[in-house]
Amino acid sequence: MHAARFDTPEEAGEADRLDHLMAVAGSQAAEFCRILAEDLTALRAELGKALGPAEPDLDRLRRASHGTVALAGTCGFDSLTGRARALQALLREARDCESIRLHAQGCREGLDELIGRVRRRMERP
Amino acid sequence: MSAAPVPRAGGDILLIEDTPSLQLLYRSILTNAGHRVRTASTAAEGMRQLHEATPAAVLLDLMLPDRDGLDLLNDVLRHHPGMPVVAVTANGSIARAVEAMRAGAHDFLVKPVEETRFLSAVSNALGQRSQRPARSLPTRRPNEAEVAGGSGFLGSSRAMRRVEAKIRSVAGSMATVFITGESGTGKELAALAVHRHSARANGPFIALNCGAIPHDLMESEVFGHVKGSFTGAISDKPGAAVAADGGTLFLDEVCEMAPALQTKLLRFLQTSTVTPVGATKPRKVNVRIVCATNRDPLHAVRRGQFREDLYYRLYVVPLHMPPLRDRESDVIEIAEAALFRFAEEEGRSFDGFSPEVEALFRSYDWPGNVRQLLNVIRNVVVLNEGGLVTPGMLPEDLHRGMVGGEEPPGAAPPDLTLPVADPLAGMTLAQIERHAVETAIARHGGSVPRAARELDVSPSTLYRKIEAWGRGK
Repeated sequence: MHAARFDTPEEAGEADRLDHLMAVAGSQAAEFCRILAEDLTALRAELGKALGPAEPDLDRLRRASHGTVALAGTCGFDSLTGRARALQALLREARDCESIRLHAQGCREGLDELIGRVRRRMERP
Repeated sequence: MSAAPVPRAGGDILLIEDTPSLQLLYRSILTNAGHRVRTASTAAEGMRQLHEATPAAVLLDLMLPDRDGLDLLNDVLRHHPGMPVVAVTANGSIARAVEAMRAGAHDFLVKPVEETRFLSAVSNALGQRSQRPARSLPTRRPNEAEVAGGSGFLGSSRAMRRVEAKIRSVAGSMATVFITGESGTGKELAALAVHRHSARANGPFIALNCGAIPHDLMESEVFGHVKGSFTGAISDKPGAAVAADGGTLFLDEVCEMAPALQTKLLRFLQTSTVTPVGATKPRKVNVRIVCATNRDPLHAVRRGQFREDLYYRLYVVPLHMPPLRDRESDVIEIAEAALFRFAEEEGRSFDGFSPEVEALFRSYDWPGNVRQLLNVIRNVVVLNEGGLVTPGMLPEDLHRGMVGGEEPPGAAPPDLTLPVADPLAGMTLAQIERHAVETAIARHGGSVPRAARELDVSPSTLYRKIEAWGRGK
């Protein structure tokens, strides 16, 4: 998988992963970004709902973290993918509620950032 | 982004994926590569499309909103036997990917999906479709020349038939095979069999023993190095991963790998790129990984010796090599084949094994498995001129390791002595002590002083004990 993050100087010379994905989508690039942003927003909402109750909804978190790995990873957002995988590992063991909550919160914030990036790409001419 | 491989030929693909952005992206990648793609967002829609027109291959997300992906996979294969199905799953559900492979999926992809890997999986699936029937392991029984020759297994036990069947089903896929089993059970042979029966059979098979190479050199051995990258690096070295490009990389004793290298291996598995020590640019390689350990990998994970994420990345299709003691009559088949093979090498002539030897072989535990058996046979062939192999020709330590085995003819008559280790099992220390004392006294014809001298205690100590045991009766 292309490992480009979007803002690390050492990878500045590499093709931006999201630009690449848009290029793959070709004429549907704008449509792809719009759909991607919607998917990411839905994912963020899922994480929010799963975190809402006093006890996190583990099944919901599990599904949302799978989605986060798939989508963030596809966009080359490695740090977020790493957090989502750490969350998956915790969920597999279903232990330490505070750690789960912390990682899920990290994913939610990472998704915010990723949504912002996708939207900015979308608005770029 | 590296160039994606050109598919062999465009094919009709049914893509069942519920996430719209991924569906769009996969469709774009496949379309750009010349495939024709139909999409479905739910299991129900997927089945409907499948019945309307049979595709050449199916890409199936294992997590669908209306139905379990594995259920759907079973349904697809029931209605369309032989349909190549590539399962797609997120990392957290790799255990399900293993189930998918067992259920008959052609391959699986872990999200996030790498474009090159994605297209090669589809290309392979289409290739399988055009090459049916699928390749199979040879059905003939291998001859004795193949013993220890590394080209096949001997034995017709149910356990080995299961192993061969599993190798047959996994060989055509790119899935990582994780071989477990005791030392000497043939893990490397199994890895070689996976390679030889795969589409990569003409590519290289590179075996690396992670436990035998010093940790400092391991990174260089796996990923290579460039000249001058460290003291002693007098020239560029490609490394095992590059040497295995287009073939199979077998990592033996993978649980012995240093933690730092585990991180790099994980990175390699995720990106399919290697960066030699001292190099600045990564290189893309196309390698299938087969790994093995004689330890319990999950135990190593729990003890923090093996990375959990690497474990899940590698433990895709587990293959357990049965120990020799669980392989029924295989021990005789292997022993006979080895006997004639080694006899030929040493210029001797043997007539086979006596019934006593066969019985002994069957009842022995073989802690060193096939490797130990081959060593025993080699020992017999080298130290004897020929004829029928009798118990007296067998190495001494084999008799010592026997549990309840018969002594070889000509051996010293059994004396009044302590029972061998196992018969003591279950006895308390006090019972063992009493047994030792009584046996010694009996051995010396009832003489307590002589028994005390042998046991290196004073006679009064024995008299006290005998008195106490008498009171206890």
